[in-house]
Amino acid sequence: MSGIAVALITVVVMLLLIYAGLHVAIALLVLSFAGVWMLRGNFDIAANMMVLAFKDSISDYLFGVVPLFVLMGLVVAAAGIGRDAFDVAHQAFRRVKGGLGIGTVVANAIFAAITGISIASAAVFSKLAVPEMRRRGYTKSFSVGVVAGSSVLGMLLPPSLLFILYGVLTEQSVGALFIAGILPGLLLTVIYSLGILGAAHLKPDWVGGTTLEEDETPLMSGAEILRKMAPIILLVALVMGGIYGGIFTPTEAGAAGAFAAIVIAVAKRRITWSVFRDVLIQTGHTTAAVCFLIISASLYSRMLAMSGLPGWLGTQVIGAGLEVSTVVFLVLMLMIVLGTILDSSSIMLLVIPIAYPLLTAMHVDMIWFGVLVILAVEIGLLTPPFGIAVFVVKAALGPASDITLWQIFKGAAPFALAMFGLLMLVFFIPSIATALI
Amino acid sequence: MAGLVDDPAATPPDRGPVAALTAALNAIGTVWIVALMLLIVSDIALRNIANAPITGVPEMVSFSIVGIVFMQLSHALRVGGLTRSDILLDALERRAPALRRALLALFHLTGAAILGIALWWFIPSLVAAWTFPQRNFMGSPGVFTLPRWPLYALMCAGMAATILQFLAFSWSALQGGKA
Repeated sequence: MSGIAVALITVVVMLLLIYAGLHVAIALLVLSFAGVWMLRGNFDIAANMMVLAFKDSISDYLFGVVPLFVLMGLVVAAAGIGRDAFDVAHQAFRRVKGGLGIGTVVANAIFAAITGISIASAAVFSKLAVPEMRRRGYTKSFSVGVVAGSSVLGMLLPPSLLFILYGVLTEQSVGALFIAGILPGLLLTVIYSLGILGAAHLKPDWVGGTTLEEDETPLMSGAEILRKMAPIILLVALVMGGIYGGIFTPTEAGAAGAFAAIVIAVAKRRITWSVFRDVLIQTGHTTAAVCFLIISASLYSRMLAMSGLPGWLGTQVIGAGLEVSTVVFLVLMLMIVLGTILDSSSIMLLVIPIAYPLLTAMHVDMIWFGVLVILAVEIGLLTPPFGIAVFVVKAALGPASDITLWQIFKGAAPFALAMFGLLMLVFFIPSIATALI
Repeated sequence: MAGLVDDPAATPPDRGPVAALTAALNAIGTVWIVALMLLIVSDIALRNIANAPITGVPEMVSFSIVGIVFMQLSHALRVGGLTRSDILLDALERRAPALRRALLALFHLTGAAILGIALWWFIPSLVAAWTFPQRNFMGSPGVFTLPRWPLYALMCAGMAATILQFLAFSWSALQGGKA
């Protein structure tokens, strides 16, 4: 059997096993191991390659900061800094139809600048914005849809864990990737806000809560707003200023940001010892899940390289006379489809090792492609049956909530569609991603 | 990115030797994350303020991330933190619960088996690193070196705990319990 055939069979069997419910990392390990065993006909080589992947694939400074970015996001979430952003954004848009929805989107965009993971945003705003919107007559589906939909801003606007992961996989500058995410992130914020505004006027039944009743909550004074925004502004200034002022590298920003977030949370007495302990344990679980996935995916990409599949695929694609943009488009569509059954990092780790050699050979701008990849995999956060952002919203609402998983998926669908629109925009107008670099 | 919201209902009761082992490793990994953060922050501060960077930070960070992951792995598995797709399993739960249990038992055994192979082939590395520390280190001699054997020992412990957790889940699936 040729190397190509072995590789193709292992990929198909792996996808079947993942669908059947085998842990993704275990499926990757087993099939990569089996693949090397078949390719080399030697059990020892296969086992030793696995051992090597365990030893060296995450033993790098870049991966060392994964837990710190997660920790920063979770501390910021636990310390109620998201609530402050929400309060301020809520007041700013109080005179607009659908204003609370727009406020949630904008608060998410602000929050995104101090967290690098979407799930932190989804968890925080489910608890904050959903009850508030429901109280004001917004529909169930819209309230949860806004929260799930705007949580993707967390990954698009820097700092972003997915951009770091992409940077590692494709040897691109993380700093440049962060900058490339800024315009698309802001654009998505605007698209969401205009969409909500339009929907509130054209389809008020879907949005609900569009009557501008008297707002009974007293307005915050300027000093109050400043007091609420100070920790956020401080954190954003520290993280962004630190990176672009040359005080620390983008990879070190996680450590600095996590430390500053903890100091602020303690100073404002917003975090208790037991909450901090839970945050740390959660950080550990996320780190272990993501990094173990990276270890197994690195073995998988080594197996693929050994089989010769990426090179074969390259000659096939070039032989077929496909245009560069067609190839990029096909890769993105594949990622969106995989997003229905896999989480963001798994998709990137599965697809990029195959696509990267092919695309670099075709001279694709990998920074531009990075922004497209993040958008494509983030659409997967919102699509059934496997949509992490939706699961997190459901989990954060708690078992007592009357909102079903399906209602959240339905509510998030227009936002996923808007993301697809932005994906197409960036696809056809690459300068949205590359203009600031 | 699964495992970001732990589901307390899915966590098995914290009893038995496997639970104690995973909890102990988890505690080490948790403290380690804080230490890692303090290390990087001190390095940033010292090199910017005192122009005196800490030697060997990249090596210590590379060492730490591997250690943290293997310390946390078994506990993450235990609380359902490792990514997997529930589509088929959920469908089976309603239609064919016995088949679902058999499938789960098989999957958990697969996990134990592949990590078992990894552990068995890893042990020679640990032995070599312990016997010849002068040949198994991270960093550059004369500047900063870190022996590899403590890390390898922790990785073996983490793998062993994860294998035990997979076996415990497999057993529990066959018994008809949660897994």
